[in-house]
Amino acid sequence: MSGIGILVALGTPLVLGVLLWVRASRALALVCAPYAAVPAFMLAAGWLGPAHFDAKPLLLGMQLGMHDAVDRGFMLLTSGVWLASGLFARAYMTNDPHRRRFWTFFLLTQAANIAVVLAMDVATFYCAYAAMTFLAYGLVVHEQSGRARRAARVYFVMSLLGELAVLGAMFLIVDVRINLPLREVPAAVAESPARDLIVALVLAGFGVKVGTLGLHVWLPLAHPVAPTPASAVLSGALIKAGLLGWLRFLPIGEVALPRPGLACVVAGLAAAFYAVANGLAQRDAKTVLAYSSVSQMGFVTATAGVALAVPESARLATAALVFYAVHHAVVKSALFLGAGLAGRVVTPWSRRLVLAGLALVALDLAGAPLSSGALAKLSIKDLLGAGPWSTPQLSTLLSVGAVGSTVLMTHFLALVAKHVPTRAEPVTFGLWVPWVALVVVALTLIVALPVDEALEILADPSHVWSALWPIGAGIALFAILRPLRADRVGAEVAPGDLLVVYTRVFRAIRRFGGVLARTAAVEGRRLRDALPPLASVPPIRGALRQASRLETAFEDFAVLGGLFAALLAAGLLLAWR
Amino acid sequence: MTWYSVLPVLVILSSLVPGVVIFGLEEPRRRLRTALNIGAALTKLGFVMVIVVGVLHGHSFQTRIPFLPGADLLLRADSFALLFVSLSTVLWLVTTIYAVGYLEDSPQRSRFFGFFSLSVTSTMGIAMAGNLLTFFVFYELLTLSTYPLVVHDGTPAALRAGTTYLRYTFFGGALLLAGTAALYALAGTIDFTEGGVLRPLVSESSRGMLVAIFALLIAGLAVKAAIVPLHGWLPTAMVAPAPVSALLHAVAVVKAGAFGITRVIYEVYGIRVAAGLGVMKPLAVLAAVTIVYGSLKALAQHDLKRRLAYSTVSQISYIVLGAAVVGTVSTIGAVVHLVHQGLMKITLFFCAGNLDHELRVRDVRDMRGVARRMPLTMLAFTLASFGMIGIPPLAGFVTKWYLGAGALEAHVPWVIAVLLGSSLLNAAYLLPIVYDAWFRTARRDWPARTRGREIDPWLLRPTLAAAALSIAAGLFAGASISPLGFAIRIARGEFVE
Repeated sequence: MSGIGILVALGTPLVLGVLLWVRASRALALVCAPYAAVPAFMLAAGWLGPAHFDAKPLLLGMQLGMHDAVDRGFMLLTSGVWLASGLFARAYMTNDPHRRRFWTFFLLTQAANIAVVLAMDVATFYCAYAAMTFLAYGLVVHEQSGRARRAARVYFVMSLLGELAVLGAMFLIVDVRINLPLREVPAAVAESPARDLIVALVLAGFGVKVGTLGLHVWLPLAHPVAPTPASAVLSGALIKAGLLGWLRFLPIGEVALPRPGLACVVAGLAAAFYAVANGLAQRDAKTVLAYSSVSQMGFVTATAGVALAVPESARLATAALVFYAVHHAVVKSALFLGAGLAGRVVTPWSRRLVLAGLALVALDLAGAPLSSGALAKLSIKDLLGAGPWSTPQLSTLLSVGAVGSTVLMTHFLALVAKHVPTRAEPVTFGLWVPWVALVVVALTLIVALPVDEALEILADPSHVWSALWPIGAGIALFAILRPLRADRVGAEVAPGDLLVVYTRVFRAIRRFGGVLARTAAVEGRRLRDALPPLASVPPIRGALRQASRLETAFEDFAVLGGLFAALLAAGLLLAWR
Repeated sequence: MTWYSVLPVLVILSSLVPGVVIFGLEEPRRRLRTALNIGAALTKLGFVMVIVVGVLHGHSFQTRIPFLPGADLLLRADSFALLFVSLSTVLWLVTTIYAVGYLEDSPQRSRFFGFFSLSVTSTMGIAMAGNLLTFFVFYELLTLSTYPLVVHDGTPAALRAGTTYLRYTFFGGALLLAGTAALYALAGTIDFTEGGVLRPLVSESSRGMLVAIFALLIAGLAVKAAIVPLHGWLPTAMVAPAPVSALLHAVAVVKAGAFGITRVIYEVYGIRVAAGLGVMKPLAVLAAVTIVYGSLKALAQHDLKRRLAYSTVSQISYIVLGAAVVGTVSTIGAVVHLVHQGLMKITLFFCAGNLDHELRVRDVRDMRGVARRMPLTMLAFTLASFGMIGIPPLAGFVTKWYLGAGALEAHVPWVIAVLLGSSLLNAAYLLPIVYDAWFRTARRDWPARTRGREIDPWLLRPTLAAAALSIAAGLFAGASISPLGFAIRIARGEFVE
């Protein structure tokens, strides 16, 4: 039966998460927890056979499956990132006092994330997505410091708003059909009378997870405060789930939507540069990585915009997006785990080793020649020129973006190199293994591609050059910028940048509400003061007094009875008229 | 007499007879009383299961008893009745076990459990009533048998609450009686019928009268359903012991009101007739106002049970709102919420009872860090809260999904705004409690555990069982015997003309 693989992949983290709380199995579950993503990884690799599972009695007719390259790509990146982070967490969280709570949230979020990828109907997707979002709260808040609480609060509020937008979109999509298979969704959206509203809600709702410009403020707050393995899954797997939401629910390839498409392209490219500028002003390495994620996801957003605007490009764009997602997932989680590792090793040699590994991965992210990053950038470069706005300059922006990525990565490396931990951890072997494995995967991802000519294309001198010059320019730019010390001179930006604005707007609204209420109270008092001449007219005064007496004495038997009797009489009178 | 006509009566008798016997039991005979209580609940469950299987196989169960000249009492187990009967039976069993644990060593237990059985008997009668007269009789019996439960503690506050409760419900009963009498005068005996029976009576001249009767019936039922402005008794009545509150809020009283409103709309008037009379829109607006008002009031309460009581005010009106929006999908949402709200709210009240019983915690501000002392109770509380907010895959999510789709079907988008807004408000009054309980440190030391347990298993197990049921209702919604499956049967089979 082909459903078994799916059940095992989904059930393993779920069951382990529960077994952690059963006294008899606690110890065993704790030992097994890091490997919970292994079945999911095997499923993605195709070792558990074809995957489809119908469970009509579950939810509103649950369908799970893994059919095409999109499903498989996302399952690979999801299970891979969770597995590496789990293994890393095994050593990283050993001395954490709230270890069991961490693993519970880790495993349950993981199960929900796997379910998001496997879901083949709208209701199941939404359920899994919402569960994943809310469970991840437990990962963000884990440290319970003031910063963690604030970050978790921002994460929660942003997620709740996104969730509401997604829920609204789902309602409009399924309408009275109650539930729909996901493969019918793009066509249903394209034909819906509320198409534009759905597209807007889907873009904004999932955009919170992806970190679209303006909705990204939770990322730079949540990533640094979460324990390192949790940051890795946040950036590696969870924000990709938002991208998956876009791919599943946008009418890509069905209709041409030039205006939302253009909006995505503009927002995406703006985010790519805006995030670099903000990232440069940060002093915390993990915050810098979070901004780098926002920047990278900007390119993704722009590509999604092209796919929306040009139905003919849909296949190519989807493939490019999936590859970009896999590449970024691996690279970014390797960077996060490396940053965590660097915080635990002190000997000069081990630090050099970490920095060397990080530098290689950072080069990959920036798109150095012959790397997976170069291929990812190249594949979206052609697409960006394909929009109806088609100007070659648009794809040149990508090269400039690569300069930005390089500057940001150099800044990150400099920060990691500068902060030497004061206290060495006794054993770091358990941290090294998963990290090195991830670095190797990141650097060899390009070879694993099913496309044979990928390397040949990348080895083409023009492509090597176009990948090389941004790196050089970036490093040079960093060298020039360095003395300016963006993070020291008054340019420091609070993590979450625009959040300051939102908070201020929110406070202003609250203040305005307060002013409004006070004004109303003052006006009310004035009105009351103006009334006395009127209210002192005997019949009116009597009526007013009666009214207030009635109100206070509503619980009195006679009054209540009289009221009901009157209601009854009125009803009967009306009936027999 | 065949089994088909005896079974509905047996369902009623299976709690009436033990109730009467329990009244005669002496106070110290705890074991016998408990055995009677639980035995009766299990017996009833058995009968109900037989009926459910029978109905699923297409049999019909009804009993007609001559009562007044030209007005029979009719007990009938149709699908809608069965939904309510099954809910009450299952939750009665759970609540009985809970109550046995909760009232351990308290005085007057025979009186309590006697009336407890009587109120369940009345609820069964309400559920299976086949016409308005039968409904009215059991509706009044419910008032009488719940009053002693509300005032059980005998404190001045309890007595005051009891008086308020009686005032509201008696006058509500009077309105219902007037409406019923008027309808009988107009149309003779009317059995509840699929799609309603009043269509032939609709004419220009009778419109006003029909509207007036509708208003009387709904006003009478709205008292128990706690629709604003007739909700005042509910928050006051929460002084009752926790099992009573649980029963009042989840199964018996407020549900009887909402259930009656649905019956009147769909099986007396018929949804098309009611919509033609123009009475559905005002009712929907009233329900929407109640939803928002109840949530806002809940936000302002510091007493946990009061907060939950206002939450009930708000949640019950989901049922009314779904029933008042014209369309099959929203009807499904309304019917299924009848069950879902019961499961989630009974869990919350059990948790409130546990906190009060074990730690004397009643104020939400004292709940900081309480999860460390009572993790399983707070787990149940958290799950039920998430369900109330509508977080998937819990029961409340299924309700909101259907109500939202129903609002689209009926082209009333403002209902969606109400749903989303109330979800946010639900989150605002429940989540801070959950957060405080799990993530903040306690202000004081909790009393030590006895024998390593967080609380007596008699109290803990029913709580966990109720929580598990509310998860299962959402998780297995697609199954044909889930509450949702039943609701779909009911809405498609019985309410459509």
